[in-house]
Amino acid sequence: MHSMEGRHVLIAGASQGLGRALAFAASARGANVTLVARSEARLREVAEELGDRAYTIVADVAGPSAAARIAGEASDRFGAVDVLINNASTLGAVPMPALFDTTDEVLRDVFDVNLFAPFALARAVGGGMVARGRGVIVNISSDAAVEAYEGWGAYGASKAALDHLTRIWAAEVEGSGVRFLAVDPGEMNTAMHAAALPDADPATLEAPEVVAARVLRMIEGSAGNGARLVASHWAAKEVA
Amino acid sequence: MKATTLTLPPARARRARHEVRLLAIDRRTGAATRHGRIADLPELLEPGDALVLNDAATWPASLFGRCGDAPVELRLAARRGDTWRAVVFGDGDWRTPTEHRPPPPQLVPGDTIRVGEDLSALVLEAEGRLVTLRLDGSIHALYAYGHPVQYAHADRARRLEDVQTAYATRPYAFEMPSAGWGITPDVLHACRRREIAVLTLTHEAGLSSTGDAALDARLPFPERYEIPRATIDGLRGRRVIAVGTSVVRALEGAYARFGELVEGEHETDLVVTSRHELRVVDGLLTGLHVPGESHYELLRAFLPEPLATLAVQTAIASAAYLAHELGDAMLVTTTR
Ligand SMILES: NC(=O)c1ccc[n+]([C@@H]2O[C@H](COP(=O)([O-])OP(=O)(O)OC[C@H]3O[C@@H](n4cnc5c(N)ncnc54)[C@H](OP(=O)(O)O)[C@@H]3O)[C@@H](O)[C@H]2O)c1
Repeated sequence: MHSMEGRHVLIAGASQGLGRALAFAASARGANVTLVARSEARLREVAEELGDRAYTIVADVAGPSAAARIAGEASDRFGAVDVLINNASTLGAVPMPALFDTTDEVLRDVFDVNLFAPFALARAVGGGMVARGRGVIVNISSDAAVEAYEGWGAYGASKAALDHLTRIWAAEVEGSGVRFLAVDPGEMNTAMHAAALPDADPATLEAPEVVAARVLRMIEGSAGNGARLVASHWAAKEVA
Repeated sequence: MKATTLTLPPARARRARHEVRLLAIDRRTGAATRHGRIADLPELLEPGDALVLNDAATWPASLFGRCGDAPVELRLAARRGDTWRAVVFGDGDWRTPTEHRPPPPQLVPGDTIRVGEDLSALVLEAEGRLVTLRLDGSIHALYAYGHPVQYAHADRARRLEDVQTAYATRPYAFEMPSAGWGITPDVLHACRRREIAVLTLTHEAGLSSTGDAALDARLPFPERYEIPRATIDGLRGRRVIAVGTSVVRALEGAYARFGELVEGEHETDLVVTSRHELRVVDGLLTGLHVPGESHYELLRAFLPEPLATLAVQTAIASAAYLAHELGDAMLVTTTR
């Protein structure tokens, strides 16, 4: 067991949806939480509810020097980052175009937010984790990384790349005490889901709070370095 | 060869971390035992050794602003809560060597330097170009307006990530603790696999030059450090290899003041020179420095003359090494 009590959890993309739910769940377990997102108003709302064990950073994770700035600011507030959750993500163009209709710009933007930004943040805090011999880096993936859904080309490719980056990074740190995990959270009732699939029946989607609780149990529990966890399967395992 | 003629080419374009060259020197003889790469570090150390890192991240310590109409650059040099010590420079940019900058206006207590909409500095004390300030604004604003202190001899302006070691954690240093520049997490991981303890402390590595000879003579200023309990316990009974002068200063400074290593945050004004008898640290990984630099003086605590000169001559003769903060590294240990 890796308790969250007193740990510093940095969540990129924490103003709404799964990231917001993760912030509440981590805080409820006694963690100090740093929340990152672009929307100052929404972030402030979340932070006010969380109180002084939360710190917010208004930043675009894909902005210049964002990783070094976020890592520095966060560590000044709560000390070394123990858990990094790379949750911020973009779909790219909405409605989601076929690949023949996807511009280079859209592809690049999607990779900037979904791959380069998590990479830079993991590099910014991961070296310190190896030096201390402990830490967890969670990259939030998607089943679009595995399945070939039409229209999900840019997003799916970026998440597939993120998955593979996670696996290789895990192999490179194996035995160091640091864990890299990829998590497919499953279909959740969030703004992103509504933007991608506006016709979906919300009743068929999970609440992000339910998924967040599961993700935290994965981090606290024995999920091994390099694992790719599918939240819905994990739930079934817990029941069994 | 006269000591003053010893020079090494400065690094303009920095080495990528894994390209950093490592010259291993035997403490007893000053002779080279290996011309290698930073990746050789684990095998140049012995199982049971402790490698101690300064995990300080580097602040974006350079702030451009205006005092009235006069453009000034503030270089933050120390922090005590929301009070900061800084050195003031006149107009210019990073390409201007500090000694060629026009002098800054003489600031007096009560002056305000406006850095940006939501960041300004109120002068509390001033002594020439050395000032004590209260920063009015958030750490977020400091990160938004601040840049790393630049080196005039570098080939391009450096970004914040360019002045962080690979294991940087809490912002605490005002110049990068650069001896560890080449040490990648993979090198640390390889050290652990060889049963070399990897330990950390945090030290406020300060400015290396102020552009003012009288002030430079007073460097380094007293600096803060914090040694965690795990490091104090972890290095007991081991041969201690310090990565960088800041680690030497923290460990030897603590010992000099308390007679032992103590937990928590403290300050040291210890200046380690050839006259200092090392009590905690046995070996040193450092950049390549030449006579006249304070880092070279510290090297002489490990390599009494003529051994330090011999080591530098070896580096020069091989023509493989770059000097200065962005350059190569030298490991000084007693080889068995
Ligand atoms: N919802 C699903 O069904 C589903 C399914 C599979 C995978 N996922 C994955 O799960 C994660 C969370 O999804 P979600 O549905 O909760 O998404 P969401 O509702 O769109 O929330 C995304 C969060 O990330 C932040 N964000 C986005 N771009 C950012 C940037 N450039 N810089 C900083 N913050 C940024 C957003 O805040 P700002 O806009 O304020 O910046 C927001 O807080 C994502 O990685 C997503 O790919 C979701």
